Amino acid sequence: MALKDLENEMMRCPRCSECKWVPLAKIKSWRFAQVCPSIGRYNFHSYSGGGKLIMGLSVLQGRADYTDEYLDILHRCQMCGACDVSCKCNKDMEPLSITQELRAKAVEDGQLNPVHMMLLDGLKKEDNTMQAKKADRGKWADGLCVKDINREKTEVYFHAGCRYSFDEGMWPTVRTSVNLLKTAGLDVGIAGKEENCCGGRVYEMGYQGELTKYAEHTGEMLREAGIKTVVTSCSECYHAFKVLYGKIDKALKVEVLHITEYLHRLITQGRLTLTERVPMTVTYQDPCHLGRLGEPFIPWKGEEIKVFNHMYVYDPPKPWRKGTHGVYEVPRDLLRSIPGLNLVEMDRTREYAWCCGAGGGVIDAYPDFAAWTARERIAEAKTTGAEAMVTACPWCKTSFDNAMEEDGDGIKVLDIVELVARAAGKGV
Amino acid sequence: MELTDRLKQIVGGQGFFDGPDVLDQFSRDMSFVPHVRPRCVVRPGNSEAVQGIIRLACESKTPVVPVSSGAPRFRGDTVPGIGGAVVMDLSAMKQIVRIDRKNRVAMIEAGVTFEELIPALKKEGLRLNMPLPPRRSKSVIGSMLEREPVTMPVFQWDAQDPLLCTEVYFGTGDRFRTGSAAGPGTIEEQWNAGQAQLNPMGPGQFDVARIVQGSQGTMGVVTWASVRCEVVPESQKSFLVGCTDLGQVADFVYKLLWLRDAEHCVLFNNVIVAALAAKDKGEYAALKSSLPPWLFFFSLAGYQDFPEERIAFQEERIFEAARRFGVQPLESLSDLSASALLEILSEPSNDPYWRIRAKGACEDIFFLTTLDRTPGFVEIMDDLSAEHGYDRADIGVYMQPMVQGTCCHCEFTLSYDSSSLKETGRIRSLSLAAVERLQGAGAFFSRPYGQWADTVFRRNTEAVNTLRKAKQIFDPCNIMNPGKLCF
Amino acid sequence: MPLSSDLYRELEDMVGTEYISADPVVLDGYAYQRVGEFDTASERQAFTPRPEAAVLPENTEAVQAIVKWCNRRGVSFKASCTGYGPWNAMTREGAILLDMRRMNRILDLDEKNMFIVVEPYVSFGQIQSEAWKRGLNCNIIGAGAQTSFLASHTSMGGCGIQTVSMGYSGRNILGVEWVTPTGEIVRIGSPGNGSGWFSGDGPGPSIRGIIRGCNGASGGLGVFTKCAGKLGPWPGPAELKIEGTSPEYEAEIPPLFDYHILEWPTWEKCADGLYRICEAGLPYALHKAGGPGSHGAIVTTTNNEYWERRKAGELLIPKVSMGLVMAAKSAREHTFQVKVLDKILAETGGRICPVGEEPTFRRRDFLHMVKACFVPRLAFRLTGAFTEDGMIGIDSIAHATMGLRMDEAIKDKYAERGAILADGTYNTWAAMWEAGHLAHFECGHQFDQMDDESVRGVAEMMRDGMDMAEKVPLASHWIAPPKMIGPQCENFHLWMGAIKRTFDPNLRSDPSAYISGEEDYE
Repeated sequence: MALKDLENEMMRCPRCSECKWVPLAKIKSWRFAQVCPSIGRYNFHSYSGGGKLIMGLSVLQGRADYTDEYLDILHRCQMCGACDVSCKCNKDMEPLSITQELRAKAVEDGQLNPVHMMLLDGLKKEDNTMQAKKADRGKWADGLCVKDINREKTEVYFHAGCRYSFDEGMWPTVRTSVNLLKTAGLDVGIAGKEENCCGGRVYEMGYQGELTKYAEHTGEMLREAGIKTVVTSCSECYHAFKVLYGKIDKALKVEVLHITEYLHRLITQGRLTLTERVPMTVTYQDPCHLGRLGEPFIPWKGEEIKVFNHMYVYDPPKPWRKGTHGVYEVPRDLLRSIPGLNLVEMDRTREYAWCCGAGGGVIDAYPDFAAWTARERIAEAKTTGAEAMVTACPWCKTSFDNAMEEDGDGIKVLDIVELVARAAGKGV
Repeated sequence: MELTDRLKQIVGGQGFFDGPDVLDQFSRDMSFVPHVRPRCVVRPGNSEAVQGIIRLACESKTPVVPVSSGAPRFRGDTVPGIGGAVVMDLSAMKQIVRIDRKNRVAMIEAGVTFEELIPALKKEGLRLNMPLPPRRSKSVIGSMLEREPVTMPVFQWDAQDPLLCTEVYFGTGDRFRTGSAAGPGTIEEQWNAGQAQLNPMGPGQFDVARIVQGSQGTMGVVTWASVRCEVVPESQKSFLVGCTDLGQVADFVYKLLWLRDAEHCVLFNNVIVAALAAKDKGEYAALKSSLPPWLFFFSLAGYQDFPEERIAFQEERIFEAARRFGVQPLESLSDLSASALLEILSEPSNDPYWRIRAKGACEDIFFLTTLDRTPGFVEIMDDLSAEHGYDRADIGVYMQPMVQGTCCHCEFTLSYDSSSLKETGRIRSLSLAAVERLQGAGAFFSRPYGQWADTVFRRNTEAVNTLRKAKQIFDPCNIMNPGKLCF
Repeated sequence: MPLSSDLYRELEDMVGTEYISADPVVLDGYAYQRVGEFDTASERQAFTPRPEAAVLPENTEAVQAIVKWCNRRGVSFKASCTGYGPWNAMTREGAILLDMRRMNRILDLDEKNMFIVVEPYVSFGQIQSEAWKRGLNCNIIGAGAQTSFLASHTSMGGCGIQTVSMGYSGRNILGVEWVTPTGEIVRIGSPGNGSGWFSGDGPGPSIRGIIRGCNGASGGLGVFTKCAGKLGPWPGPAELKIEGTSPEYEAEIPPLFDYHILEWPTWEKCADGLYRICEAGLPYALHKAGGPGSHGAIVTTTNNEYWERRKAGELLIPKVSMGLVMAAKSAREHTFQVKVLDKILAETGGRICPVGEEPTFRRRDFLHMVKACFVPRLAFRLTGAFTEDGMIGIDSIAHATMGLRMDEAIKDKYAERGAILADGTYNTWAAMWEAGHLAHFECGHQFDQMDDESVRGVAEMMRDGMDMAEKVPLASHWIAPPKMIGPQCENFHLWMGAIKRTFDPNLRSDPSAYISGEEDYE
């Protein structure tokens, strides 16, 4: 969409600052009342969700041009969607989409972040965002005895994602994910070294072309393999498949599930049982891309009209994504079904969870900011008295682990799959 | 024309006084400020006369000292600070302009006393949020301008209450009506539009009423004001809680402040209660010795709708709280009934004024703090009294939670025989020493009268600078009660 | 004129590189405002004059240093917190903006004495969340829980849904720390004497009277760096049980609480009812149903949902109606409140409106009434903007209800003309204050600032409203520009000018929402 088309939308920002705060009804404490890492760290209003709208308007109206500061503001943002949820709680607006468009426009105008460029370069050459060799992509599954969907037809495709594929420290977790599915009797396959990046991360950095390319490739691959269901352990990939592909009219014509959703289904069906006690108190980190951003995307074509003289409505009604239908309860139900496990909540949860710091290209281009964001969350987790923070995304885990590496003081961070596996007697 | 003649022109011959007795009366009061005779005393009958006097004073650089209450006066603020002053006695401005039951407000002139206003309000089903019983000649507006603490903190939303809108004449002679009285429209036009001069703020982005309140007449003269009233209850019940230790009852008081059930909410010692309640010296001595050292008085009220039920639910939870805090509210204590005390607190004092009944004079030392800190200040006063040879058993102590419980007026009353030079000297130095030491311990002397002013303002030069700047705006010629506060 | 690099460097030396910017997009973040003065949408500017630099001071000493520097260097300044509302705008160039965001601590929460001491960037929502844990509450202003407590108390208005029991910011304020326009630090009230923060008055006259009146100086008289404000009792739970996911939040109404929309057949009967209800001490929260709460927009999550339900005949809030929350501290009090309310309604011809009894409506609007968390749904979501037509006043309940009645004709005229929202409800605002001792009303109407006809119509509507306000007269000096209303109100603007020139002799504190002090005065 051209930026000019968004001008009216930008002008609708009432500058209320709700984008900086947890939805107001849900503020539980002074300490954990804010929800936007960008303004939390950098303080100037432009860093907020609303601030970025104003920034875009400023450039659109010729009042300003690209500067280093502009690009820093634009890219020091995890695209976590918290501002979007808070804004949309009370308004029919799309702040995150506008920020996305600003990023795309910056790329289009040649205003590129050098680190992002490097990632993109690697992606173009090796189909991954980890600066790794494509040929090494399938190594995580060595010895796993699992079907290759490019050679055998299968119903369920497990997508590892770039992080799991190339971060050896995470291989036990991703292998466990597959093993759990197999244990439940699932006919599951992987793509091995033929697996490509989902394209989601670079899309959020502003590179829209790659998303299209990978959407088409993945769609084709799944069609040929006869896949009916895609399951992934990476929340960012989940978001790309479930939401982003649909946005660019390349929706996968298969069911898309996160590993937590599938495990939950398997437990409900009795195909996986959790019998071993895991006596721990844990708190749960809602990954942005599984939670508020993981809300299904429903394509819509229509127009904005005015009724009652001046009230803006959509014809046909627009299916707003306000964070209401993200994946929040399924992971929690999973945790609650683990014998002996005690789940306690942080102040900021679900649709207004504080980001881990990794998204939007931040962990790559601004690692100090990613770490700062992660440390904020770690501090919050510690206030619950939990022994561990559980998450369902390798990027969250990476971000927290990176931050604690520097400080040494933190909290155990576990992937939810590890706990489920332990309870299923299949410890990692 | 001579100043005197011009003044006579403004107030009329009957409103002008320069006889020695009158001048002597206004040259002193019960405080320790130096005696300074005024040049004359004028008694204006209306706002126009007030304005005329001020303009004349401005022109002739003549100090003006506004007074609205009758004698005996206590604080030194109405004694001229320098010679040649004209005392402007507002006590003749006695109109009760309007009583509005529906809006719980009255509009009165500066000279209206508590004795005059209370029965007039009662007829309309209203009552004032009263200070501890004022003397009969005390001006209602005068009391409110002094920010005297009121005995029903639940009804005091702001330190300014119950004062609402005012008509002020600045030291420039300009008239300024505050709050919604400022306009738009005349007062009558406002009434026709359903207004009742209820909004005390502004007009605009400043608050003259707050600047004039507490100014001891150094900024301007208030000729009339609207004052917030409360409804006379259909039913009331009062209680006394006696205790030996102030800290013992404090938590209970805090609970009542949180509940907002209690209307009257007053903490005092046996000396004050005895002084209030006793009809003669004999009764005073008996009460003083029979009452517990500390008493907390509170009242409950029921109104138009199911009054008894209202009192009942309040009583139930208050007694529950009392049990929890280990105190016992009673309807009478020793020979004193709470309802009798309620009556006393609802009316001005009989003569002689209760504060001076014991020995003929008194020095009140008062400041603001928070209730939880008051025991510490009591200890300081005990020490000081010992140091100065004053019997601590004679110190009256009065604690008044204010502004819905956010702070507490703390007052020590020292009775003495002013005919004894020795006693007077002792009280004077004790008072000065007390201000110094109490302030050092965190007491906030928000109303620095007479000899205290220096001590207080020395500690707060920022306030001095700011107040002098304000003074430059509202009284550039410095004719309004010069020598008071930091001016 | 932009700051020279030397001046920029001097400022940078004071605050640190990370905490200053003169980048145009950063500055435009502060220049963007929804300003009221415009003739047509096409002429409407989204941006006011840009500050020359934005700085983020860390503490009072930094603020003082900046202000003194401004005086020395001839640069104007203005402080801002969340920056919500046109009074944050600067109307002249050459000023720097102090974003107070880094000064965000709660310094003390005195539970026993029921007050709190805060720095500028602490929001009402944060304070309420901490206060509720201690059985206390604060009045949250109508602008919403995300706004600054200190900014409201020192520099703005301060009424809200709970002003009936929690008071008005301008009257709740206690001790204050003020960096004057010339850079002196004045601690107003008890903090000035080192006694604590419990009082804002004295010694002697109250300096509170200099810094604010009905409204504060909105940045025109220096910078406020700390303030104390009153809290009140909260008999509810430490945390409300809130169900649903955004935006579908709804709260279980706690035991001993009640919520209703009350309606009356006429404004006069409504006034009777309100006087009685307030005198009986019933309300914990009380405001006019229709705006900015207790409105169909508040309980719906999109405009489409609101439209569908209105088309189906739902969510029709009666014109003469008020939203009420009662909060008892014991079961017997609760019984008493319910009984008294029923009696008063019966005696004044009122009733409990069925619209408010629908479970979802009730749970959502109740939540909003105690948390002021959904304000933009009415103010901005519906049409993009709202404005007030000049019919406004703070005085008695009778005056407020009269004003609301009179504004119906204005609303109908412009709704019919197509200038403003016409959804069949009457979206003006009113609240009772301090147990009904006074009340205010403001006639706000929703319009589309992107639509020329709407904008033109609204400009006319404002003239109509202001004319009527002058004729009646309405107690309207609250929000009207000082120079406009001053001549009708004791020429207060002249005195304000004198205050401005006295305390800001170099005229450095940006006067955009205050008085400039530059006019000729006698």
